[in-house]
This record gives sequence, C-alpha cells and structure tokens, in this order.
Amino acid sequence: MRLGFLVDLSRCMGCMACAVSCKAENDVPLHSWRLRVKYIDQGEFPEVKRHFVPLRCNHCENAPCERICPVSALHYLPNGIVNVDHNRCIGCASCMMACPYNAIYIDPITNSADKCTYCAHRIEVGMMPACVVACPTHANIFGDLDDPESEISKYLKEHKDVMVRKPELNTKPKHFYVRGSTVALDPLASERPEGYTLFTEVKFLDHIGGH
Amino acid sequence: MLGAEVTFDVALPKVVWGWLVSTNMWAKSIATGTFLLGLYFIKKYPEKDTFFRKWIPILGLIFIGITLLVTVLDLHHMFRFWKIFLFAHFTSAVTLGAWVVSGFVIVLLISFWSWITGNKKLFDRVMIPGFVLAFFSTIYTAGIMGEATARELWVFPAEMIQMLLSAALAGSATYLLIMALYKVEMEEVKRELGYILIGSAFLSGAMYLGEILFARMHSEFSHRAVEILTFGELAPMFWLGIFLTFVIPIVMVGIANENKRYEYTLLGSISALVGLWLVKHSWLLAPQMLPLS
Amino acid sequence: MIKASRRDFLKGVAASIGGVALAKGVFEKVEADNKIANNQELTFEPKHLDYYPPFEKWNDWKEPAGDYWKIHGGALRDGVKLINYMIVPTVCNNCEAACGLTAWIDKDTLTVKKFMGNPFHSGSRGRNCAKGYAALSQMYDPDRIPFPLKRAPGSKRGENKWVRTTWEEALETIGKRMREVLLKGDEISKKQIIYHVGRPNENGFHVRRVVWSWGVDGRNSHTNICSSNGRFGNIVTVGDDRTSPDFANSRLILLVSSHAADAGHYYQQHAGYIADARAKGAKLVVIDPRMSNSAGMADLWIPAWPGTEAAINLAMISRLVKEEKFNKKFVERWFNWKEFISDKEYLSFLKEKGFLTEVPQGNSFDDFVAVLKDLYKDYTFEWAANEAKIPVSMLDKLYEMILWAGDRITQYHWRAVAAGNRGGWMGAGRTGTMLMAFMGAIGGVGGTGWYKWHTISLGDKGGDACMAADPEPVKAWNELEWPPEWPMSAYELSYLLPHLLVDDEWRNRWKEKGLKIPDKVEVWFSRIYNPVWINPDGFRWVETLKDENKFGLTVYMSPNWAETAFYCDYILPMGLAGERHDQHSEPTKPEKWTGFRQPVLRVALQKMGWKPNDPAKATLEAHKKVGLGEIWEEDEFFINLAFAIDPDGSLGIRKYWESKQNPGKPVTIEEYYNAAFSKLPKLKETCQQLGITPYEYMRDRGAWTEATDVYNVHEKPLPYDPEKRAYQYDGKWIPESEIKVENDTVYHVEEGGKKHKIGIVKDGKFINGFKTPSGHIEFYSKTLKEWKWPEYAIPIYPRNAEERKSMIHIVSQVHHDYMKEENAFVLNPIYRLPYLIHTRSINSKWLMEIGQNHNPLWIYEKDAKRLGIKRGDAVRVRVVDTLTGIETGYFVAMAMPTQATRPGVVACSHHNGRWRLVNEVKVDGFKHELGVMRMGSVLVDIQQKGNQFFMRTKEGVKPFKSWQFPEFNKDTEQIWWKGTTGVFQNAVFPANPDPLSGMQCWHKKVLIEKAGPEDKIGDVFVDINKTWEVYKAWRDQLTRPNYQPGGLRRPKWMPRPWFPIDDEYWKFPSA
Ligand SMILES: Nc1nc2c(c(=O)[nH]1)N[C@H]1C(S)=C(S)[C@@H](COP(=O)(O)OP(=O)(O)OC[C@H]3O[C@@H](n4cnc5c(=O)[nH]c(N)nc54)[C@H](O)[C@@H]3O)O[C@H]1N2
Ligand SMILES: Nc1nc2c(c(=O)[nH]1)N[C@H]1C(S)=C(S)[C@@H](COP(=O)(O)OP(=O)(O)OC[C@H]3O[C@@H](n4cnc5c(=O)[nH]c(N)nc54)[C@H](O)[C@@H]3O)O[C@H]1N2
Ligand code: SF4
Ligand code: SF4
Ligand code: SF4
Ligand code: SF4
Ligand code: SF4
Ligand SMILES: [Mo]
Repeated sequence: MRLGFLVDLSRCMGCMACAVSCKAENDVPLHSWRLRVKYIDQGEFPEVKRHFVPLRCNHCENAPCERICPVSALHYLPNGIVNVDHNRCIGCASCMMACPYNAIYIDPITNSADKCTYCAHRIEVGMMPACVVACPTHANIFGDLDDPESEISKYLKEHKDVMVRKPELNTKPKHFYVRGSTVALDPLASERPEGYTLFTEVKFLDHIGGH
Repeated sequence: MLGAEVTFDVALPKVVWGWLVSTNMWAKSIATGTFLLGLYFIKKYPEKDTFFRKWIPILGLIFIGITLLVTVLDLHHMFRFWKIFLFAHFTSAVTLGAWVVSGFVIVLLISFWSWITGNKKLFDRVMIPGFVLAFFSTIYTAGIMGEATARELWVFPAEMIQMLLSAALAGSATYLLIMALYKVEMEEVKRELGYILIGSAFLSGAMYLGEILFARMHSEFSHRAVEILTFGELAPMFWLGIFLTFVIPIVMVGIANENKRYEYTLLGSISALVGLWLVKHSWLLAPQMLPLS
Repeated sequence: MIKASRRDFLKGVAASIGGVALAKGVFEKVEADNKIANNQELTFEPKHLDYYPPFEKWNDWKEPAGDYWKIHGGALRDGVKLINYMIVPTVCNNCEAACGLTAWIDKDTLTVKKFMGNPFHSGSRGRNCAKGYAALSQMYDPDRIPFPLKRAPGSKRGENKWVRTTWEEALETIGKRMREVLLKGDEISKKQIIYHVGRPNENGFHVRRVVWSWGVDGRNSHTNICSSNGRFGNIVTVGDDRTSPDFANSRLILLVSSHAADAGHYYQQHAGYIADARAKGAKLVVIDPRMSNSAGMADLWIPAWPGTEAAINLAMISRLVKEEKFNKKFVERWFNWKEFISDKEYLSFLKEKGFLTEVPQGNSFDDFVAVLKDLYKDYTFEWAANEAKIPVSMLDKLYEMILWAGDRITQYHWRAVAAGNRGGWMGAGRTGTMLMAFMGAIGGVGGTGWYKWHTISLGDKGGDACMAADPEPVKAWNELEWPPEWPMSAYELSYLLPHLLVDDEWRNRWKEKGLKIPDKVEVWFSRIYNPVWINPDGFRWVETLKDENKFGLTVYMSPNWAETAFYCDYILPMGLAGERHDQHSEPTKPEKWTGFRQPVLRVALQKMGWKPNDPAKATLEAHKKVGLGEIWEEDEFFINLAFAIDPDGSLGIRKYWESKQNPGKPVTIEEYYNAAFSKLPKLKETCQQLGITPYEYMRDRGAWTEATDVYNVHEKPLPYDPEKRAYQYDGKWIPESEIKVENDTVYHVEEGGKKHKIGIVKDGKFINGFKTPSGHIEFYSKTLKEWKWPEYAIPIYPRNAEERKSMIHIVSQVHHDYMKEENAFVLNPIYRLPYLIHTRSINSKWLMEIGQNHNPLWIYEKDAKRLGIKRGDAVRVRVVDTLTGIETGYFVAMAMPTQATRPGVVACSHHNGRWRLVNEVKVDGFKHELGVMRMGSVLVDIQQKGNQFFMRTKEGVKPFKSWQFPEFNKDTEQIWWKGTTGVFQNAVFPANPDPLSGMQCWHKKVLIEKAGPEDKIGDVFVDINKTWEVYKAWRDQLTRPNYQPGGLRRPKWMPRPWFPIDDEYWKFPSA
C-alpha cells in the first residue's frame, strides 16, 4: 500500500477548511500548521488571477527528512506514510533543514518535530484524513496509489497535467497536484514580501533553533 | 517584480539553524584543524613536538567542548541527547557526526593523558585513528549540509573541501595566534603555518567565489540564496567575513613571512578566526532566508 | 531568471506515476511494525477508506485521537489509545448555509473532541468550510461567558461593572418587566417589547412563535443592513425574495457576489456545486469591483463600477431583444406582458419620459417585443461599458457565454450591488433576474428556482404540541420597525431603531396623522445581533442604548462578548451551534432538506441514561453537568420566559407554551420538535417503518431530505383530491366551492369575502405560477406604479447625466458622477472573508489566527502611486455623503496597494477592526477574571465631546494563559498576531436607507489622504450630528411616504414577515 494525496487545484477555492480541520483533528497549536493554504495574486489589472494552494507534507518516497533524522524519529509506516515519533525526537531540527517543502516544524507544545501524518491514526480505522473529509469542493483526493481502482489512481491516470513540487530534488513526493501552475507550486515564482498583505501579516518566525 | 505575489500565508520558520550552529562549525574547525596540523608538525618536526603535544589536547578539548556544548544547546530536547546513541540512524550524517566526534573526543582525552603523563607512545598509538576521526569530524558537517536537501546552496563535495580548508585555516591561525601570544620561537614552523594559512585562505576564498559564480547554474534557489548573501541583507556580514578571513590574513601573514615581521601574524590570525565565523554564519543563514514552499 | 529545466521536469513527472511502482528510496528504513500492537481492529493497510463511520456505529465508535497519536503514535508505541466516541449530529451556526455537523463526543470525558460534517445532510454532503470545523474552538473559547451577568447595581451602561446572576433571577426580572408592559394592553405597549435578531439561523421558532405569542409587534431584524435590496428586486419580479439556483447543473454561473469561493448564503454548499459544475465545463463570470477569491478564479472577472450592474444587464437584454435571441416561448408564457402592453396610460408615461418613441396600438406579443426593442435601444454595449467603466470586450465575452448557456444560467442576488448602492435592487434581482428570465433560465435544470420552492419551515409548527396552536393576528403596527416612509421596504428598518426613538420631531409629525409611536422601548432583546458594531452609525446606537429613558431593560443574548454587550443590562450566555435546538432548512439546491441543531452534550448524556431534574431546563442542566458552564439555549429560555411573564395564564401567553401531554407544564423540546417534524409526510412514513419518532430520527441523524429534484414549481398544478373535491394550497385543503377564477387567476374566497390568490390558470389547469399579484414574472410591476414609483415599474436605468439626476433613487450614491476630487474614491466596505463571520468569529482562536483583526484598505496600485501611498502606510479615509455633501468623519486604515481592486474603488473588510473596552472583567465572588475578546480585538480609548466621538487603539492582542478549558487552550500563550491593524469603519457611516427597499446603502464616497503625524491606524472620528443630518436628508428628500388616510400601510401581497398583523392595523388610522 502506498498512500498518496492529490489536490485538484482547479477545484480548490482557498477556503482553509482543510487547514482548520487539520488543526482540530491533530491538536496543532497556534503558530504552527501541518497544512497551510497559500494565496498568490498574479497579473495586472484587470487580468489578475488568484491561485490557492494547499501545502502539506508530501510523504516522499525518498524522504530527506527521514534520511537526516539522527534517531529515526521520522520513519516510514508500511503504508508509505512518513510518521513522526514525538518521544524519540531530540529536536535537532535537521529535518527542517532537509525537507525542501517546509513541511516540518517544531511543535511549540511538545517541542518535537511535527508535520502532516496523512492522519495515520484515522487510516488505522479505515477513515479518510480529516482534511479530505472537510474539503467542500472535493479538491482533496486521497487513497492507495498501488490500487488501480482507487479514486486517486484513476484521477492520476485521467489527468495529463499532474505535477509535484520540486521533482528535480528526487524526493519522489506522494502528493500530487492537478491543474496546478508554476506560480502555485514554485515558491520562487512569486514574491513573498514580509509584512502585511491584503489578508494577513505574512511573516517569518523568529529564530526557532535552540533556546 | 515577478508579477506574482503571496497575499495570504501563515508564518513560516526562517532561521532554523542560527549562531549556535555556526559556532559549532567554527569551533570544530579549530579543534580538528589544530589536531590535523599538529599531527603533521609532530611528524615533520619530531624535535619540536612538545609544543604540539601540549596544544593539540588543550585546543582540541576546549574547542570540541564548545562544539558539543552548542550542539546540545541547540536541541529542543537537550536531555534526549543520548538517544542519538541508542536509536542511531546511520543514514543520517548527524548520527555519524555524533559518533565520530565522540571517538575524536576519546582520542583527544588520550592525547591529553599522554601530555600530562608525558607518555608520548600513548598518543603515537592513537595518531592514525585520531587522524581519521578528526578528518571525519571535520567533514561530517558537510554531510549534514549535503543532506539538508532543502538548502540547495550547499553541495556535498564543495562543502567538504570548504570544511577541510576551514580546518587548515582555523588550525594554522590558532597556532599562529598561540605562538604569537606565548612568543614561541619556531620560525620554520611559523613560516609554514603562515603558508598554510595563506594557501587555505586563498583556496577557500576562491572556492567561495566559484560557488557564488556558479550557484546560478546549480539551481534557482542557490542563485537566489547567493543574491541575498552577496547583495542582500546578509551582504555586509558576508563581505566583512570574506575580507577578514581571506584578504587581511593573506596580506598580514604575507608581510610577516616576507619581512620576517611575525608580529603581523597576530593580527592576521585573529582576523582569520573572526572572519571565519562570519563567513560560516552568513553561509549558514543564506539559504534559510528563502521560503521553501 | 526562472530555470526552465525544473518546470519542464514538472511536466515529465506525470509519466512516472500511476501504475508504475517507484523504486524504494536508497536510504529507506522501515521501523514500524505492521501489526499495530495489541489491537486487532487497527491496521496500517485498511481495505477501504471511508469518509464517515457507518451509522450503526455512531453511538459507539472507536478511533485513535489525533492529539494522543501525536505524542504516542511513534515507532515504538505500545498500543494506541482509542477514544470512545458518540457521534451526535447538529447544524453549523456560523452562516445561513446550515450545513450539517457531527459532534464527536468522547464518552469518557464528555467533551467534544471535534466537529465534522454530517453525511446525512444532502445539502452539505458531509462537508464544511473552515468556520464549520472552527465550531470546536468557539465552544471551548477561553473568553467564553461562563454564567449570566447583570450590570452591577449603581453602575452605568458602558462602565462594564458586572455581577454574577442566575438564570432564575434573570427570568424573573425580565418576565416581571414584560408582564408590567403587557398588562397595560394598549396599542403603544405592544410596540415596546422588541426581540431584535441578527442572523438566527433557524426557521421560525423565535422569530415567529415566541414574539407572536406575546401578542406584540416586536420582531425586529437586521435585514435592512444585510439584504433588503437583494430581496426587493426579486420580490417585485417574482414574489420571492431570493433565487435558489441549480448551480451544479448550470452552464453559466454569473455571480454578482462571491459564492464560488468567499461567502454568500449557503457558502460552502454553493461553492461545492459551482466546483462540480465547472468540472463539467460550466463557465464562471464574476462581476465585482474587487477581485474576490471567486473573481480570482473565474473565467471572466468584470470589475464594473459599483452600482452600474443594471446597465450591464440591460445591455445584454437589449442585444438579446434586438437580435431576437431571447427565449420567446418562455417570455411569452411567463412574463406579465399582457398587463404591460394593455396599460396604454403607462406606455404613454414612458413615452413622455423619452424612453419610448411610440405607443403601440395593439396588445399582441409582437407589439410587446416591438416595445422592448424601442425601450432598450439605447442600452448598447458601448454605452454600458462606458457606464460601468470596463472594456467593451468583456461584455462581448459575457454575451457569447449567455447565448451558449441558454436556459442554464444561474445567479444569486443578495449583497454586492444590492447592498452597496442606492437603487441596487434594480441592478440585482430586478434586471438580473430579468436577464435570466429572458433566457428562460427560470425553474428548470441548471437554471434558477426560488427560496420558497426549496425550503422547509417547521419551527413554529411544533406549536401542535402545546395547549394552543396559533395566536391571534397582532393588534398593532410598530412604526419603530416599519416607519411609514418606507411602505414597501423589504423587512424592518432595523438599523434606524435608535434614530426613530430619539426623533421627537418625526414622532410628532406622524402623531398628527394619527399614529401612536412610543418614545421608549421597555424591554429589548438583542439576539445574535451586535448592532453597535455591524450597523452604520454605531455611536448613535451607543448613545441611545446608554439612555435608560429610551431603552428600558436591555438583554444581550450571546455566548461571547461583543461591542453591544458592553452597553446592556443583562448578558445571557446562550449555546452555540452544538448547544441549542433549531430546525433549519435553506434553499441551497433544488431539494427540500432540513437539519436539526441540537445541544450535543445533552443528547449524549440522555442517550447514556441521564435525566434532568426539570425537563424544561434540560439543556442548562446538561451543560452545567459536563462543565461547560451555565450555558443555556434560547428555546428553553423562551419557553420558561413565557411562564415567567404569565405565571397564572391570565395574559393568555402561557397556553402557547403549555404541553398538551402534561398540561400545566412547559412543553419539552422533545414534544415540540416531534410535533414539528411530524409535519413532514415522507419523514413520518419513514419513521413509521423504522419504528421511531420523527424527533428520534432527527436527533440521531440530524438531517432529512423531503424532496429531491424540485424544478419548475411554477408550472406544477395545485394538488387536487377528487374525493375531498378540494385543492391543496400551502398545506391546507381548500374546497372547490371556495375557489373562484377571475382573469385567469385562482382565488380562495374565505367566508366573509376575504380572498387570496392561490394560483393561476394555464392550459385550462390550475397551476402555481409565481407569488406576484399577476402570478407571472412581472416585467411590469403595477405595485410600484401604484405606490408612487411609476418610473421604476419596469427594468430601467438612466441613460445620461441628466436622467441620473431625475432618477436619483436608482442611481448609486457613489456613481462616478460624484467623484470629482483627485483623491475621491468609492469605498467598498462589503465583502466577506471565507474564514470569518461578521462578529461571530472572535471566539475562535483558529479563525482569529487567520483573520488577525487586520482590515487594510485595498487600493489599486496606480491610484496609490498617484497619491504617493505605499504598502503599510497609514491613510486617513474621510467619509463624505454625496446627497448632502456632508463629511461625517474619518477613519485611519493601513493602505495596501494591489492589483485586486479596480481603479477608483478602494475596499475594506468589515470583519476586522473589532474593539473592546476592557481586557478583563472582574466579577465579585468569582476567582477568575473573565477575559474579554482578547484574541481578536483592540483595547480602545473613546473620547466624547458632545456629538463628536474619537476612538484610538491602546493595546492589541497579546498571548495569555487561559483558566477556561486550559487543556484545549494550552496554546493561547503562543498567540503571535498583534491585531492592531484593524479599524472600525462602520462607525463613520451614516444611516443611508434606500428610498424603496429601506436597505442601508453601504458604499461611501471617501477622500483619501496620507495620514498626518498625529494619526494612528485604528483612529476613528465621527460627528453623530452630521450622520444625523445625512440620515434626515435621505429620509426626507428621497422617500415618498405613501400616506393615505384609511389606506394601507403596505401592499397587502407583500406580507409582514413571520406573523400576521390584524387587518385593522394594516391601515393608516383615518386622519
Ligand atoms: N465567509 C462568510 N460567508 C458568509 C458570511 C460571512 O460573514 N462570512 N455572511 C453571510 C451573510 S449574513 C450574507 S448577507 C452573505 C453575503 O454574501 P454575498 O451576497 O456574496 O455578499 P458580500 O460578501 O457582501 O459581497 C459579495 C461581493 O460583492 C462585491 N461588491 C461590493 N460592492 C459591489 C458592487 O457595487 N457591485 C458588485 N458587482 N459587487 C460588489 C464585494 O467586493 C464582494 O466580493 O454571506 C453569508 N456568508
Ligand atoms: N461594513 C459592513 N457591515 C456589515 C456588513 C458588511 O458587509 N459590511 N454585513 C452586514 C450583514 S449582511 C449582516 S447579516 C450583519 C451581521 O451582523 P449580526 O447580525 O450582528 O451578526 P453576527 O456578527 O454574526 O453576530 C452578532 C452577535 O451574535 C452573538 N452570537 C454569536 N454566536 C451566537 C450564538 O450561537 N447564539 C447567540 N445567541 N448569539 C451568538 C455574538 O455576540 C455576535 O457578536 O452585519 C452587517 N454589517
Ligand atoms: S478545503 Fe479544499 S477548497 Fe478549501 S482550501 Fe482546502 S483544498 Fe482548497
Ligand atoms: S515533504 Fe518533507 S517532511 Fe514530508 S516526507 Fe518529504 S521531506 Fe519529509
Ligand atoms: S528534529 Fe526530531 S524528527 Fe527532526 S531530525 Fe531531529 S530528531 Fe529527527
Ligand atoms: S492528512 Fe491529516 S495531518 Fe495531513 S494535512 Fe490532512 S488533516 Fe492534517
Ligand atoms: S458554509 Fe456556513 S454553515 Fe456551512 S460550514 Fe461554513 S459557516 Fe457553517
Ligand atoms: Mo447578511
């Protein structure tokens, strides 16, 4: 079993239901996000577009985070999920340096690394991840990539414009995007000015290593 | 203007590894550099080995101590440090580093004992494993940087060479500094140390230049990181570092060696050590200034 | 600069996935055990993945908890703790979409661990938006009000000194005061108790039954600040107040709103259907001066100048008519063109006005088409593009799409043009619906149906469980709610309450004409309504609320603090979405579904065998038992209040709330809602088969769909029963003998001669038709003509500056004609953020983390540049009324240059800019301080000099440690946002009622300048004398009060909502 995720960006409306349901499901504290939704405005009036892109861990098949973790706190489950062990984690933040997708953070309450687990605990009882259930537009599609009958496998087969983030790093993400765009998926294809924007204060957190 | 702008995002971590990590690398360069150069001089000038047999353990222990201290301090779970030995994950350069450094510490302790007791043989016996451990202690960080896939600026073999050059530079500078402070009269050694310093500074500087120039080809990420380093918010620190590490020492130590005015080495080596920290630090920060997703 | 290789590679990756198994990573290392320690039911590799557990397991569902897993779910875990869940359904309360929710209750701790959707809810399909999931954070809000509060004796309103009180005391005091008023029994007293409600999100219980049973005309709303203009155009056109589009099957989704991604009624449900339609190839067009998220993902964004939408709609109609590409069959069958074409007097009037060149002789359909061509000839694309200040090419594209979509066009009119602009009703429901109607996109698959087709309103039908069913029609007409200046207003002029109360001049003017208008409200309930903040002229509200001679006893019913609460006498902590009962149904699709909102912990307790001491107070008892606090719900509160008002039944109120099963005792929720849900025939039948009661069905599943595929209701015959020899109308059987046909209209003639239209005759059959007087789609509204607005009786718009002056009533107050100064802009203060709900999200840490109390001023980049304004600059926004030229004040906002708003139009969201008067409230005898709106407001200082108010931010949002629900709120110390970039803009806005509908016209002309050194973001300055002058000018210069001695106060076919008013009081007292 290889569990994978797919977001159809032509359906995503940036509502953040996924992001909030994830907080509720996984007790993700303020200040941190296992899943975030980014908005990008592109173009000049009146030819302007707004892109929405939910970003979470890719559960890479060749995961740099798993590789660099000195204590195997990051480990694979048999279903392909890259899981975190909060008790084992020593908080070295190496995984944060290694993950090319900003998917990991140090949980301010547990002080351990944390990230999306594809809701591994729900999988155990045969339930879809919280954010998949949440999505009002059914932009989130989840399932077994090894099973040709799964919705995700069919979706992947039917769509030609499948993308992953930073494929050149050879991390082999198991998180796909359909009808995406470079602007949405490449962080360097847009500016991320620090400070206040139309919607929020966009900022970087202060130095978070050490004490 | 790229014509596209993020209008909604959450707060993202910026600097994950900060001054504690730069200090780690810097102190480790001194510890391993002094060790490796020390071995070289002991071998080359066996008649003058007392100096090195004394300072190898002292410098090594002090600076590896600093290294370990900042490493542990940087952990969010300081008191889980031991897990790295119990749950060792050997694909991780962090794990390898921890093991190798631990070995190196043992060698340093032996060398310390050897110096205290005057039992030279003891040290001689661990020289070869010591050499290997010091060598790997120096380069494992490059491994970590290489494994830090996200930070495309750091490329493995280049970082490894930089680590070795830093060790040479830091080691020679530290010895020159000690010699200047304690007014040690070993002209040949000094000259040679001076040339090592100049050489490693030159090579290291040239490599940085090369990396900066070729970053663009490596990936857009590293190109942008280098832009921040060279023209952006990190530029003052980086260029000051470059100046202090490479320009001043080359000039000062050059003058010293040419004109036998060894008092100049004092300034040159201090400058090199300070500069090295700045360069390491800015190089560490640069790829952390960019959003990864 | 961007390397090509990566992008190309992105495309290539498609090939490497799918069936091809990827090689395992070189460094891969699998540590975890495949079988999950000591639990057989758990598996890493489940056979299938479900969205929800099977219903049979809802009472006992075991699932690992995310928070537990996070800490213990690692590689070496020795078993995973499972939560014993009971899944109890309820309905979201965060917007009117009424999506289903399920509360996942940990039976061991009796806490709700999470809210998810409800798969039985056919409207929401088990899905929710961010605000739905955030219900949990609202429930366990660190600043939640834990028990009833009462203004401290001796303190003044607004001083924020509070004492703890009990529900019993509150019931007694309020009940006694109401009794005193009701005992007076005169007409005035029936206008002095007001239940004022924002968005109750329920169908009928309170807004109808509660107030009605008191016998007062005291139901006031918030509708005029929300949607009167949105409703009015549709009421005039089809007799229903909102479209019910079949988005999912539509081909062209033409939004003058932001339903696809931001907001709107039925937000996430509609967004889901729109996404479905787009996946099938539908096109999305959004008309909006601001680039909403919907506009940002649309196929075409038309950034029209605010208030010019009618021009666009008419230009489309003009072209359709000219090219004869409209749906002739539909138009001929369903427009009331006969009425129009035969009213030669009216046609001559149009000719006089210069809209018609010629009055036709004949009365045929062809004559009608000829008139249309003549009437609309000047509305060319070029003209409309000029009026809307957009490229003509956009109109060409839109026209193409309209032709392509045919009768599958959908629209939803609510706010946008309607809420922003004077005469916005013309641009919304009037011309918008007409455009769809011309294409025949009314009623069918992929077209637009109507509210009444698709909703189930049962709330008050539970009255059957009470000793007495329906009360008598109310014997009063409350001018404080329906002032005579706005006879046709869609809903109450709610935001004018303080203005009307303090205006003796106005009162006397009408007194002379025989009206009896009180100068004081004795008891005022504010429920789910925060008028000080969300209405215009907030300081007028503050001033009047503070005056005990104007507002006697004031009761704020809310789970959390709010600006209005500071100025009230009681704050009664009511239950949230999962803590109260309501029947709730909405027209979100061509179906009829209803949901049941419930106090989920009470339901869980009862299912586990718990019994309340007092069955009429079960919700309160349950909430106390589980440690939620002394939280009650409105249903039980009002039932008990009826007993407190009328303890011996002498006032005749009690009987409406006395249980039939247990006479003398209050009706219980179970009885009441069982009676209500039993009214649904299909549900009842299903329940009989299942052997359960309708109440139990709804309690366990939370939602029911009574009918699917409800299309073309206007074409449906009235149900006929040959045995009864009767037709069915509105649930009642009407004997054939009482039915009369006149002019192809079917009437029910009651005993005594009263007649109601119940249908129309077409093809010899009695069919429903539309709810208009003609039963047709009223191209021509005789009502408007008769009620003094003849020039607007057909879809129309002024063609030039001169006409705009004479037709000012349907010209936006922010028309570009008025923008003369260099720095003059339109301020668009009306748009929703998808993750916030007016003032209803301050109690959610998750939503506040996103919202941050940040509402910058969006300004087009080039405009900003021209004025030298940069990102983050403070700007002073001076509000100027265009009717009077009066400047009412200013606010200081943070400027945000962007490409996402059109030139000349700035935008500022109303969700943020919240404020508090104190950080904490100390209550004697309680060990903790009660936190006040700490997560998303600023602490302010308000200085008053006579009529002038100045507000300044003192402090923003700071991290804190929560004593309430400490485990859930362990992260409030992580609060990182500052909250200091918001501004309370509504305070500077005068009341600007639309002369016809009564809608607050929200858009404002503003003058923008860079802030001076003395200005700070968040500053607000307003002179409420000036706002007063503006209000008076709008009232006196623009309205046409239809004072007719002995005449009606309002067209009879536009009923007073919710409960009947006695015929006698529909009339003006004779002079
Ligand atoms: N997320 C969320 N959803 C909600 C609510 C909420 O608070 N949050 N509130 C609910 C309530 S009470 C209501 S009434 C509905 C309202 O929902 P909608 O009817 O969609 O109304 P708004 O969000 O006010 O405005 C929609 C769009 O109209 C644009 N607009 C403003 N002025 C004009 C104009 O003059 N012309 C045109 N063409 N467009 C204009 C705005 O920029 C905005 O993008 O939403 C409901 N749903
Ligand atoms: N500038 C500007 N102003 C606007 C708008 C705009 O677009 N722009 N929109 C207008 C519109 S469309 C509307 S509908 C109004 C909405 O304004 P309101 O009708 O006032 O609605 P809310 O702000 O949602 O809720 C009001 C209060 O209800 C209380 N409350 C919250 N949840 C509950 C609950 O579960 N039970 C009870 N009993 N009370 C609760 C809280 O105290 C909250 O402050 O705002 C209007 N104001
Ligand atoms: S819930 Fe769905 S539509 Fe909403 S932001 Fe997430 S992926 Fe997009
Ligand atoms: S996305 Fe990042 S955190 Fe997730 S598996 Fe890949 S490298 Fe690890
Ligand atoms: S922070 Fe924790 S999970 Fe991440 S690499 Fe270090 S030990 Fe592993
Ligand atoms: S799969 Fe679960 S953990 Fe991952 S983003 Fe979705 S809800 Fe969060
Ligand atoms: S759309 Fe409205 S009712 Fe539905 S989940 Fe969102 S806030 Fe709740
Ligand atoms: Mo509203």
